[in-house]
Amino acid sequence: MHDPSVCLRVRGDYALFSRPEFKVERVSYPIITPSAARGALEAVYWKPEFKYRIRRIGVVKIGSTATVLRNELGTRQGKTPVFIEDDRQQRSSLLLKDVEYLIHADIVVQPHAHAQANGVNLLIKHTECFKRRAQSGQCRHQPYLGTREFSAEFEAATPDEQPDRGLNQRLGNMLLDIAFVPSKTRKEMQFKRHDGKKWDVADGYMEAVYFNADLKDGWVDVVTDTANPYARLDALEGRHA
Amino acid sequence: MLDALVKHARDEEFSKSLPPTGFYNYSQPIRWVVQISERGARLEEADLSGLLFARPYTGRTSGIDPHPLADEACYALGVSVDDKGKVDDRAAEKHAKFLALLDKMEDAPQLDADIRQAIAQVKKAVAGEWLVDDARWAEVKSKDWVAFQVQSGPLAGKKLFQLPAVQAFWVAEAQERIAVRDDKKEMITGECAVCGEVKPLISRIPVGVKLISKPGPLHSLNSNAFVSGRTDTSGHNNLCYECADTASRVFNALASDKQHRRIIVMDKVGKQVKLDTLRNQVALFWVEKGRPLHSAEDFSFQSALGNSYGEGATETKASEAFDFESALGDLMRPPVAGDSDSDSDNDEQPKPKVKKGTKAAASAPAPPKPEARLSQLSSLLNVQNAARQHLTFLDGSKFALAIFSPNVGRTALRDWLYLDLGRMLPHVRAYLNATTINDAWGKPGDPHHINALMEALGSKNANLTRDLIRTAYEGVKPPLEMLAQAVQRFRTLTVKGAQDRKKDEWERQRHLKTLAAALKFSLYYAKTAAEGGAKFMTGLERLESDPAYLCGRLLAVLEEAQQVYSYRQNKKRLKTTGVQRSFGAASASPAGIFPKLVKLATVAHLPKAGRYLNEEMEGLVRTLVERGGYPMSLNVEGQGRFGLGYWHQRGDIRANWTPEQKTADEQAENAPEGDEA
Repeated sequence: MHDPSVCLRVRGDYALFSRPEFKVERVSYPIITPSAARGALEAVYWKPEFKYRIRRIGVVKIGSTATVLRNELGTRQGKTPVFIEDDRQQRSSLLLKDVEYLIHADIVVQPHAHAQANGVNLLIKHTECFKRRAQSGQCRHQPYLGTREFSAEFEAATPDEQPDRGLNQRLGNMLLDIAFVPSKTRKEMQFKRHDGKKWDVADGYMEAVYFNADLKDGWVDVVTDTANPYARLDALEGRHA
Repeated sequence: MLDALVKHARDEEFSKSLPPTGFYNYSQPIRWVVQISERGARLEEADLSGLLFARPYTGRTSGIDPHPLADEACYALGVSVDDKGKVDDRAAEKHAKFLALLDKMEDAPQLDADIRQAIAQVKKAVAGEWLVDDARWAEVKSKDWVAFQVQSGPLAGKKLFQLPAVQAFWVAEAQERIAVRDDKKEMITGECAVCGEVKPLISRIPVGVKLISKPGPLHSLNSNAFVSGRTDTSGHNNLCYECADTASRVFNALASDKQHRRIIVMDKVGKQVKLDTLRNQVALFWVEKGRPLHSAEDFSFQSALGNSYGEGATETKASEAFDFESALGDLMRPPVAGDSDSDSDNDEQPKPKVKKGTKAAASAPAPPKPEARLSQLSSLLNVQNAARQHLTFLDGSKFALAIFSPNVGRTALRDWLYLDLGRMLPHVRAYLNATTINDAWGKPGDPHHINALMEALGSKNANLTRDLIRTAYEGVKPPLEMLAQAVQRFRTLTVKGAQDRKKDEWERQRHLKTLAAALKFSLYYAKTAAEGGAKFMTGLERLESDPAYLCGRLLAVLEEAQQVYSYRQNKKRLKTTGVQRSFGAASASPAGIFPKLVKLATVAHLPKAGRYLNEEMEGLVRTLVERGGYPMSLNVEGQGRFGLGYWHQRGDIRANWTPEQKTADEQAENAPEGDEA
């Protein structure tokens, strides 16, 4: 397999990669999910012309778990102001402490972007852009590890850098990413979609996609020569990567 | 965690204690069995000797929700009057729904021809009101549970609802009832977060889990907060029916079994327990068995445990008396046996209520397994360390430990450990070795439970408890705050001196020993975890040349010199010595007080204290001089070592007492307060 398009090293004092079945009294996955890794990359550099596909994740520091108990807001904030005293809930979170990861990902240029490329190799262009920004520490917003309150430090990495090779663990089913599925029968939300000519708003719903995570010698392979869990995500979204 | 619970359901031995998927053990027994033949049906009172029959369960409350081939009489037979004479207005509607379910079952792909024929007979008997003429019909009340049996054919004598095919139908039916649906009322499918298979996703888990208070859901979702991956309260919870149901059933089975449950902290105000607060913490633990390489018979617990069972223990008795899995959880046992985990607070599966005039349940409860002792576990692990090939069942085994708290209707997971058993056992061994210390009389002591340490520290800090649990099972460094607390408590109880009330004195001595173990654990955990460290610091370490440790030893020698002098002068020992009163100052700044103490002892006590104590003191002072003299002041670590040295030296002196000295000491114990130097 060729080298990944981009590599990034992220670290943080705390992290919380919530399991979908524990969304209130939150419980973290033991390592960063590809979905959260994508979020960290997009914080550094993002354009609608491409998407990131996490190829593998290296665990440099697996960290330890800790429980925090906080007074939180019971509802999501919207247009109407919330009076906090009426809407306070004490919740527990089982989070990770002192973690560090290597993220290897590929940049996949969207079909509609090629049409407007004017001969420019967009893959090289966006890859170089990402590398320049990562090396100089630029980001659109500070990357975070799972939830916004746990910001991450980041630095550019190379494909040769190694994680903790002593880590081996079967992690079981882990969230890969959320698919935004256009649907006429489940109009639960709206999202933007490019139909090849223009951007449009589509009705649909979100669906969590999982993959079987296996930590071997410090690496979790998401995409391999034989398996690509993103294929199911693309199929759900009606795209073809 | 849910994944581990679901995996544990596949354990051959454990699965015997679980009801099938979609079924649940009810507290009320099945009272009536309808025996159906070609020509008629009759009511028969159920034999309750089988105790709890697991039955289909949907968690219904006020809704109408029939169950297949086993249900309350208002559903199954249309009986509308209950045992208090109250009429159920909806009995006819319930009965109609029950018959509709039977119709649906006849077309179900899971059922074969024999079962369909039996269902047809049930329908004929129920709809044709064959039972109305039965002599016992008047005794049937609307809330009585009823099951069906056929008397002929291949299914004769079997309860129809227990047939595997009927159970499979029920799983599909229950899943259909609670599945989330789209605008066209089609079931929404998706990947299950646990098994990863694409199945219908459910909106709620039908079986609540019972931790301390009333049952609540195992998953944790809110109607309007943190809904990524779902849309709102009407959305799914990312789980399929089978995984959700299995995880809940396993949780309940573990929570109702004292072998797998330990209460870490119970939120009490006086005797009042607050059930639904986050202060409560309950641990559930289990061993996920790996693949045995070869027979475990080639391992003898008796030979491994040596004399820890006491004399005269037979091979059989020894092996029966040790439950390895439960022993692993004994690190979290309550400090006092029977404290806080009574039968009443985990009555997940209560005994069936037997009505008056019916056959009583005749099953005697199985005798409880004998309690595993930490000392036995410690012996076993130390032997296993020396001969690892014996415990072959460790291959691929996992130890799972989940700590939960109730939180206003939800169940919060506070901590989760899922460790390879083979990697975990060295940590447990290190913990047990690190908390083993000789008692005040120099006799070999046992390891200490985590809760015993917490009780001796006088702390109810649940975070500290969880840190200790992590040390015990994961091998992380002991928490720093423990040493500070142990030093302070050890000094307080030592200076306090002997108590007049025997119970108070017994408790003080017990806590002192535990605190000495806590000091050793905090200071020397890494050394005891190292190879060959099993006996390190359990008793007096004569080779230890740390000045703080030597100062502690010296104080114990001076104290004993005063006691011996007092006995020779007045024929009685002192209850509290002057040296003991100096413990606080001596442990904080030895250089300030030891010269005075040594001078006093040299002039007054040592000349009449015997050769042994004189030699001990001379040796200690010489070593201290070689090491640079008395330390000016000691930090917390130094004070911990000081306390440990004092404890070890005192135990060593007492271990070598003559019978006469022992008698004198007992007399001093019983003497009234006020005999002081």
